[in-house]
Amino acid sequence: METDGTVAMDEKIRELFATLLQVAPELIDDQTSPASLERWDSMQHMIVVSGFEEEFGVDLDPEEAVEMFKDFATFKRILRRRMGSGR
Amino acid sequence: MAKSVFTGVRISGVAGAVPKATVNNLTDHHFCSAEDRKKIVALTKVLSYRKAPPEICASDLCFAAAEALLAGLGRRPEEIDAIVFATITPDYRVPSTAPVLQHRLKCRTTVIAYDISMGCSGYVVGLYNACSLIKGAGLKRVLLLSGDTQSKLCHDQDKNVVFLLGDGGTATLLEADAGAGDIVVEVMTDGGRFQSLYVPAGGFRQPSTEATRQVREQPDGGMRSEDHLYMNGMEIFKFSVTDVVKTVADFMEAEKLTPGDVGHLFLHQANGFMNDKIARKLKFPPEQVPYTIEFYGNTGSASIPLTMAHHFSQQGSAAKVRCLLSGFGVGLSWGVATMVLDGVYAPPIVELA
Repeated sequence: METDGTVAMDEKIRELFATLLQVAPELIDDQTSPASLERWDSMQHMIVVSGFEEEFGVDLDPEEAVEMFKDFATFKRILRRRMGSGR
Repeated sequence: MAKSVFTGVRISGVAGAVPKATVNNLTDHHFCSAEDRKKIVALTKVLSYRKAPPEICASDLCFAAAEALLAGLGRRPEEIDAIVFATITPDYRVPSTAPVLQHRLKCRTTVIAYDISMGCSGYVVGLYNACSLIKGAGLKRVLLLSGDTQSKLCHDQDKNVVFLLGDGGTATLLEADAGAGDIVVEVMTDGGRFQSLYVPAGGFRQPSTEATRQVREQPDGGMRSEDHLYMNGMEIFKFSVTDVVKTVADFMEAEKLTPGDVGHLFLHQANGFMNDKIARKLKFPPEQVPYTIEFYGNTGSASIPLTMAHHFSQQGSAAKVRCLLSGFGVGLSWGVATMVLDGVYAPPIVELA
């Protein structure tokens, strides 16, 4: 069940993701993937991962970084799990 | 299993050479925005790299390194028994470049000289060959040349590779020495993934044609033709941080090595973000992992020995330091080696104009 806190966190992740990729947040939803968003290539993905590590003070495992390159829903899920917010 | 222990082979010296011309990733590559360039540099740590002009080949860089090495060690070319040249950027499609280097270096015609067509794992595969020639074939001295001009394989607007790949050449002298310790080398191969990092056309499977030479924006957003180097960045990242890390970790366990036993971990200089992840997974603190990627970039088969040459020429050659080396890339091919270097000779890096 989504709480106000998780919704707010999801939005924060989406906004930072868009900022790091230098695209409009409106272009990002759960289905957004490297195949659908040209800007989300492997180099930009690493920049995004590195940006999240810095912003949230987490050290993502390389395997997690690879898995996050699937779609935004996966990206968010792994990041939230790593941040220990239970989702 | 291609893992061998070579007892009685000494690495006497290692030397490097790079082109004088420098590409600055912050101020060059205007096809990318300044913001993107800044972020890519922060991520990859490649601030600049050296780029060879058309007339300089990998063999020229290795030749310059070999001259500096042999002169500094007081060795004459006629004392060399074998030349092994690891490169993916040879002078010609035919013949191998090693014979050309034999003549240029004025080595005897009795040497065995051959190329190893390997990139980023080339130095480790080259060590395996050089040690085999000494221990298996009974040769006394092998000159291992390892270098690439990868910038010539890239399209200069392919954002996937052009910020990373630079040019460099190296020379390492290996000698039979009954008093030397073990050099342990393990090499791995998975050709099932060769298309993750390759040049699709220009060989005999797909010769270069007008069509393959056409530069266009590719599905991954990179500008290049089929005659240019393609890299699936995410596949290579995955390979490096899983397969390579596992091989190195297993190797360390088998050899009963911990990071505390190792003075320096010399990794192939792939990119900063990736190498940081690899080093952290292997539990090596940053001070044990020398980098040259900031100013030379990823120089393919040269990157490990170039980093060694740079490090030892700057810091001085410590007496007896255990080193762990790992190279990984095209093939896919990867490997790991360990040895104790004892006062290895390393002249200053040569710059070639």
